[in-house]
Amino acid sequence: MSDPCVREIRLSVDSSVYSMEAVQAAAYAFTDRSHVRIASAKTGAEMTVVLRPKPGADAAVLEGDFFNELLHQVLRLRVSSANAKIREYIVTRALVSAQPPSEAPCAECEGQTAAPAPAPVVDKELEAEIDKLLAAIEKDGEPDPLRVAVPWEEKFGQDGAKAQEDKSDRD
Amino acid sequence: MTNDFGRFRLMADAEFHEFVEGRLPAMPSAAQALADDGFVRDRMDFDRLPALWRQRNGFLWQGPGLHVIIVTLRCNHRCLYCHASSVPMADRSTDMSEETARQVVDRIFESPSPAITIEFQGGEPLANWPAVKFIVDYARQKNETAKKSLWLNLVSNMSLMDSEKLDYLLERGVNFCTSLDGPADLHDKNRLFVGGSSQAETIKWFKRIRRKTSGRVFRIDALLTVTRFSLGRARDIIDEYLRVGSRGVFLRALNPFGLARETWSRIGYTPEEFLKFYEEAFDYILEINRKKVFFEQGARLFLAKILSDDDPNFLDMRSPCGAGIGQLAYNYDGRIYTCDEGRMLSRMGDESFQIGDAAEGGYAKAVSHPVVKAVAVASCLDNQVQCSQCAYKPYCGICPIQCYAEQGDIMGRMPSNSRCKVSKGVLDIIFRRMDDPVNRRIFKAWLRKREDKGLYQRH
Repeated sequence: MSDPCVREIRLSVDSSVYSMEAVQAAAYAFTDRSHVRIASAKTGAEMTVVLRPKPGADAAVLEGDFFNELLHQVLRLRVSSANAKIREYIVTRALVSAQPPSEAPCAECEGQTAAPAPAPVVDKELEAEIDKLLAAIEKDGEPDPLRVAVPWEEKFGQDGAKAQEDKSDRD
Repeated sequence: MTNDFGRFRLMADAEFHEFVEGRLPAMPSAAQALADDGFVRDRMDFDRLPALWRQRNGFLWQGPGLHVIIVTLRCNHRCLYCHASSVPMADRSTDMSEETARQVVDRIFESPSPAITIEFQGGEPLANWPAVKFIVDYARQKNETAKKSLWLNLVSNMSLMDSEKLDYLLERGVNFCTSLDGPADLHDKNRLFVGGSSQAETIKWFKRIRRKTSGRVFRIDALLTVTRFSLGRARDIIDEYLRVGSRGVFLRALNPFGLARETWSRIGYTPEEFLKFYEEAFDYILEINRKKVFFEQGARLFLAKILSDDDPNFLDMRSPCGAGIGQLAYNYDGRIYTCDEGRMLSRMGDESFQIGDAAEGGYAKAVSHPVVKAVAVASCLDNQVQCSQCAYKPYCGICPIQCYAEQGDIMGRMPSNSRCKVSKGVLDIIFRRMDDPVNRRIFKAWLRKREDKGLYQRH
């Protein structure tokens, strides 16, 4: 139930946990239920979000929902950035395939009618990008205390690897 | 444990912990099997695995293959869950004209997809028989030049079918799909029909078409929509499907579109209630399979992704979903939508998913619409907070329109999304039963029956 006495809700948001971009995205999602104002504190450590509920909005629910939405936006930004390359590749590939073929067919496609085009190989640019990413991972990899990323032969040497295999066979 | 190549491992806790701690199984053959399936980072086969990924995601290279045409919104039924928001039979204002039908077929053949499925929907499509007839003939005529793989599919309640129409459609290789909600008392409670028992009509035509299409490539299938009235009656429903000679059943949950939204308090249920029903039905189906092959279509679609390297291209269950890039829906007046769900929302007064008009701009303009890009990005699981890290990602998909209808945002919020709960629950049920070798054999037998690739891309 809406509480008519609640004119506005002031929420403190820790800016070391939530970015301004996420706060803005979450606040924007609330413009259907409330009027929203964002202010950053002078110290910069905290932001204040002021929600003024629109008629029919429940103030208590609004506060809880806002922080859930904020968490969603933080993670969405993170996933969007971390998976940008693969997302762009997949979506672009799908969108390009939906486009009609060019009005003027190329020599290679002349006479081609129903047969589906073979799936193209990963393009050169993407291949170069993958190589670059792999090189970066090799160079600046995350800490690996368990040495998960270290190849087997490097850990044990050729003989060691063989000894491990023999042991495993016996087991 | 799964990976992007669709490979999976069922592991005991201890085995899984060893693996994440970087220790491979002691048996060299088991370690090699993990490596072959792309689970071991420093033993990846970069020639074979990317090729496998491309094969499993072949739909990314195909373009829109499914084209849903709403030839009329008129219908002689008043189904409690009607997603299409049909209109009374006397109201001919929503009948597609021949001119619009011609424009729609012209647009469809502009799609680069080598395989085209034209699906007649409504309302009841047979209420506008002249439009159905025209489209069937015009599409076949156009295909003499285009030479695509053309499938025609009529989704009908069968109550307006007659021998003349049936012969006409059979001669032209049209497939049929109807609704069967179970025994007469249940079916007729969901699907109100003033002309008598809806179920009796459905069964009469189902059996007749099944007989006439026996041994042919095209045929008839039936769909079940689960309502609150179905809960607790799983066995009755499946027995009815067996009685009419169906090859399987598709246990579909309700969607929050059209009339279903208004009647939800009467016919709706929670995802947990649906899953309880599903599990009961699924176990009964497995019991039946000890004697004869009889599949559950939802599980069969998932199993095709789990146990084979081909994607069945079920448009609601792929990443990105098929909206605008795998399917298009054409309304009776020629307006084009991303998909049938987008068109359903338009009947609810929301035109967010209209992307063009058959009379103006053509196909290219429609598929280049910004909304097509938005729904592709939203339904790309690698871009979803929870889905991107979900073990079921290689087999699952989301519907941005369902997210929008249920949660007000095409991105959706998976922790509270009902469709996500249902999909995860169904996959849990399938994988839990995968441990049993008898069940595995049954699942493989279901896939051997999947000779009709691309035919039922939505159903």
